[in-house]
Amino acid sequence: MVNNLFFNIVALVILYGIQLYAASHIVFYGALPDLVTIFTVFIAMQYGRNTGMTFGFASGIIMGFLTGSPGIESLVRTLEGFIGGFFHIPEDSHASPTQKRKMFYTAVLLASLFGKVIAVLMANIIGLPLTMHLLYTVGVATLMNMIIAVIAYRLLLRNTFILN
Amino acid sequence: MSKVSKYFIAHNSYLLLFIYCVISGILIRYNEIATLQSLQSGAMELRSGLSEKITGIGQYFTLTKQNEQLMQQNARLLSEVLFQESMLKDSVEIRKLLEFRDKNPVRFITAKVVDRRFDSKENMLIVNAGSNQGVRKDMAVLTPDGLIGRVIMVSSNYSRVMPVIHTDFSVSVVSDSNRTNGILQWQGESERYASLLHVPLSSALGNNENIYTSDFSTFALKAIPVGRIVKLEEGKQFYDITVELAVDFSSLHYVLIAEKTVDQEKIDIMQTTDSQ
Repeated sequence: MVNNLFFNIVALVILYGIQLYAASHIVFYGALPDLVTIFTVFIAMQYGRNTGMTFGFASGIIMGFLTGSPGIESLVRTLEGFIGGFFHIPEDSHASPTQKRKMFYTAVLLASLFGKVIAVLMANIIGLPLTMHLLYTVGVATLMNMIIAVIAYRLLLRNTFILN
Repeated sequence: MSKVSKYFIAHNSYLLLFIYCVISGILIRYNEIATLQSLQSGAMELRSGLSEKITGIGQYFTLTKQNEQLMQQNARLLSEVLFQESMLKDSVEIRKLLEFRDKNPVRFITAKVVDRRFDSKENMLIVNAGSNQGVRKDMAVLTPDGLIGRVIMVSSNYSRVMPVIHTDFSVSVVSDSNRTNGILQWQGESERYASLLHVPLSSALGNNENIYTSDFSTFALKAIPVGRIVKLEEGKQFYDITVELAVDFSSLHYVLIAEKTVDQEKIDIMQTTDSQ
């Protein structure tokens, strides 16, 4: 568990670095892909809702301090971990790989949608245009996250014990 | 165990969610307080430092392209600087010409040298002023420094000028001190020197005397600087005099053409006297 925790923290740091310096160049109508969301959902599916929420909260705090809005980031990541936790796959699960894959995609889709909506609503409190964000940021950002989730599953996550 | 605690244990996720949401709400609400701001500025320092290192690595691979862009920019800027320097020098020269022209009671036409041939005994200049600008044949061409030559051919907008450094050119000149007359002619050697001819040994000319056009010239106004005597040797009947020309023909850009020419009546009577 401790080894896994260390590995997950290292993975989070690497993903955040990629998110900041690589994924930030993939902008489409103002939306960016969010690797940390996908990873938070994965943690929640692997370790359960509580761990997912805690992981999301912690990563949100860290990312928030780096981007300037710790409160919004921590709230969004916590909720993403919470939603991902609904799709937790226990170790003794008898679900088939196909079912697990579908659950993963569904979890990422719902977490992205919900997280972006919350982010847009919270940002709107500061006075940004809501319609534009809902149309482009939420929809397009969620689509981009799904694309990244499919790629991540095909390349990396398929062979983890939880989704195998 | 009480029902409440059992309820919380059963729904601990929602309790945890509530706690995290409350903390997040507090962070949102008090985002502007000093402690959080200092933490954010520290995080921004860290992020900026990392960004700088990472972009520095990336920039290493684009150095060649950056160098090419800088070289192109340098070439463009150099071209602009040269153009502006040229314009500045032109403007200084033009200003000098205009001041000379404005102070002089004689009216001058300003022209730019558009072509030149200074590599033979028949050197020539083309200027961009012709009959449309009032130029006529046999007008004197000069600068504030001195005599350039005379107009020998005129078209609508251009004129051909025979310079002093042409073997067929000659002009009547006079010395500064004792008004000794002579004929200035170029011998086809150095562009900076010409010869002063027909000065008898009896004249009292000396070195470093300035030479000007005289009243006897058939085209030039009098008192236009021509040069300075730099060498004076006694010949059989006349002096061998070398005159350093006042004008540097290698750096001519703008010239003045004197509108007033010598009286035609004077030329006619001189020619009539010769034919008789």
